[in-house]
Order: sequence, then C-alpha cells, then structure tokens
Amino acid sequence: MPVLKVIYFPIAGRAEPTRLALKLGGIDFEDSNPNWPEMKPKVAPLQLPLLEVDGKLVSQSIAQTRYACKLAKFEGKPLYPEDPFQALLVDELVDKVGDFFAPLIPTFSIADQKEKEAKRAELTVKGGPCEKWAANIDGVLAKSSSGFAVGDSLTMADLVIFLNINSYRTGMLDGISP
Amino acid sequence: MQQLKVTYFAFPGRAEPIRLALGVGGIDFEDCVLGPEAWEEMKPKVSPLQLPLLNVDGKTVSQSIAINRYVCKLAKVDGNPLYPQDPFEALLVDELVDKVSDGLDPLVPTWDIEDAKEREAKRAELMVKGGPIEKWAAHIDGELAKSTSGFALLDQLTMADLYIFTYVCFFRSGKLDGIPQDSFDHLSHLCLHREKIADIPQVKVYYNDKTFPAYACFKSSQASLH
Repeated sequence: MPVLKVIYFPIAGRAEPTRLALKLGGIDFEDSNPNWPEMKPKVAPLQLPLLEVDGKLVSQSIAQTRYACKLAKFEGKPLYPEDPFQALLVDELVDKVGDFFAPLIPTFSIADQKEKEAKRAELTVKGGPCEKWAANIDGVLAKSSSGFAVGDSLTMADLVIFLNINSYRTGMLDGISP
Repeated sequence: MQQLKVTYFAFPGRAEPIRLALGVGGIDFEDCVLGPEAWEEMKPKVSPLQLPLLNVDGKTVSQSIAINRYVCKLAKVDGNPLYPQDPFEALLVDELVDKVSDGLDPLVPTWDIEDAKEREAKRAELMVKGGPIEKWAAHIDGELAKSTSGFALLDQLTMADLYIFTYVCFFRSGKLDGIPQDSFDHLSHLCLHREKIADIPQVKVYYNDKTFPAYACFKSSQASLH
C-alpha cells in the first residue's frame, strides 16, 4: 500500500470523499492541513486538495477520490467497480453531482449576505440549476432496488452523493434550508 | 461486444475524444450526429442531461468524461488499453484529463453572446497571454515538456493524449470566431504533441475521410495514405 497524505484545509469540502473512502477501506493516511499561503506559490497552479502518493503530489479531487476508491474495499468489494459499465454508471453520477454543485461555487464569494442567500434561493428553487440535478439524481436512486446508488454495494457514487448533496440538508450553507 | 451509439453534434467538441478512442481502438459504434434543431427537440426529453450521450445496449448514459473513461477501458492501441489498469497510472491520467477538460469552461459562456463583435472581443480576452485559456494551454505545454517519449504520460498513448489532441485541435480549427488558428503556435510542446498524435497510423486513418471543415487541423500534415 502506498504512503498516502491528504493535503487540504481542516474542513470536509473537496477532500472528504477521499478521506472517507480511505477510512472505510481501513487504509492508513496522513491528514495534513498545510499553511496554504506559504504552500501555494510552491505548487501553483495546482489547488487543494492535493494527494501525496509515495512522495508524488497529485491534484484534482475527483481523480484522487477515484484512486482511493480503487484501493479501498468495503465489506470485500472495492468502492470503485472493476466492471467498466458499472464504473461508467458511478462516474456518471459523480459528474452529475459536480454539475449540481458548480452553480453554487460563485456564490461563496458574494460578500453581501442578502445577495448571497437570494442567489442560492434561485439555484435551489424547483427546476433551478442545482435543483434539477438533485431531482435527476433522486430519480436514479428511486430506481435502485438495493438502496445503493449503483449496483448492490457501496460505491464512490454513494459517498459523493452523501457528502456533496445530503450535507446541505444540514443547513450548513446560508440560504439553503434543510 | 456491446452495441454502442454516440450522440453529439457534428463539430469536434466534447464527444471528439470519445469518437477518436472508439475509432483508434477499432470498436464499432453508431455515430448519431444531431443538428441544432434536432437537439432543441430532444433536449426537454433528456433534461438536465446534455450531449454527448452514449447508448450502451439500449441504456443511455451522459457525462462526457465518464463516457470517455469507459470507452478508453475498452479501446486498445498496440495492445495497451487507453485507460490504464494500474490505479496510480490511472490517477495520473485522470488528473491530466480533468485539467484538460477544464480548458473549455471559459469558452462556454461566449457561445451565448449574440453580438459577433462582442463575442470575438470576449474570446480575445481569454486567449491573450496570461488569459484563462492561454494559461491553461501553457500549463498543458509544461506538462508535456516533462515527457521524454512525447506522449503525455507513461510513454504510451492514453486517454490524456486524446483529450489534449482533440481540445487543442478544436481551438486551432479556425471555426471559433475570435480564436485564430495560430493561437498556440508559441507553445512548442503542444505543437509537437499535435503532430505526434496526428501521425499515429490509427489516428491518421480515422481522420483521413473526414470532410467536415473543422477537422482539417486534426489531419496529419504528412502525405495522406491514399
């Protein structure tokens, strides 16, 4: 097993699916919170999270999570399917969650609280840019007989849906109510 | 073997690496090309899914990178699948593909700009040295510079090469108003990479018969096979 280090801010965010996959798979890793202003110029243009694998720094959070899910087995099954078609269904869902989240990204830098909440309300209204993806993913889950997103066991898709959509039902983002 | 159908527009955009992977891998597929009106009709039926779509034995799947990864697992060139089986090698490919795919993002909002002058001006801002697209291309150029073989990664043809080749050629096609064909001429590794991939026999054969004008810069500059 390679020596792994997850490098990110001390928040869940984009590193959490990777951390969760490694934990579920019982794979040791160092959870590192760097001094980002100090680190940034050294690794530019790479952004956080970074995954260090046997000393090599790799960027792109979804790529990192997919890698972790290939290494991690949960109840005997890898979190990323070996069958190409099952993997395709997982990848499709993961990318749909990305499309769900993308319209929210610019709202994080809106300084005015009222404006931020108003913008987020637009996104989450029925048929809005975020809601339409959540509804589509809900439809995919509705078709599952196992309750898991793809197939009949836990996969990367479940982790990403759980962390990146369901987490917002906690009211953790201003303007997005549970 | 699965029955595959790729549905996309005629131009070499986000479906191009998919089509190319199937083409060089010698995998049969139905190439379903939609005009803008046909898409407007189809769109509400599949919303929020976008093109490209892949149909696998009757099941419709969306998301261009997911589709690409799948076909690159099936497609072999010179015995090697275009998507590595080793998880770490695959991680490097996935990282680079995600970086390359992000390159189109700044261009997407410009499609909706009605006024041609305004659209060209906006695109010029993206392409100027230090602008978002030029910076993206310069970064990819820098990654290619690390390779001794000329392939992006692992000294063999991978999904990452197909992405770089098709996206760079799309920008160089001359079919995007406001984006000149010589836009990336100052990035030597990108230029060499384009030549290298275009000259691969299976790639050359794939583009040989393509007459759609945007495909001109995808073809090898060496003499045609015929």
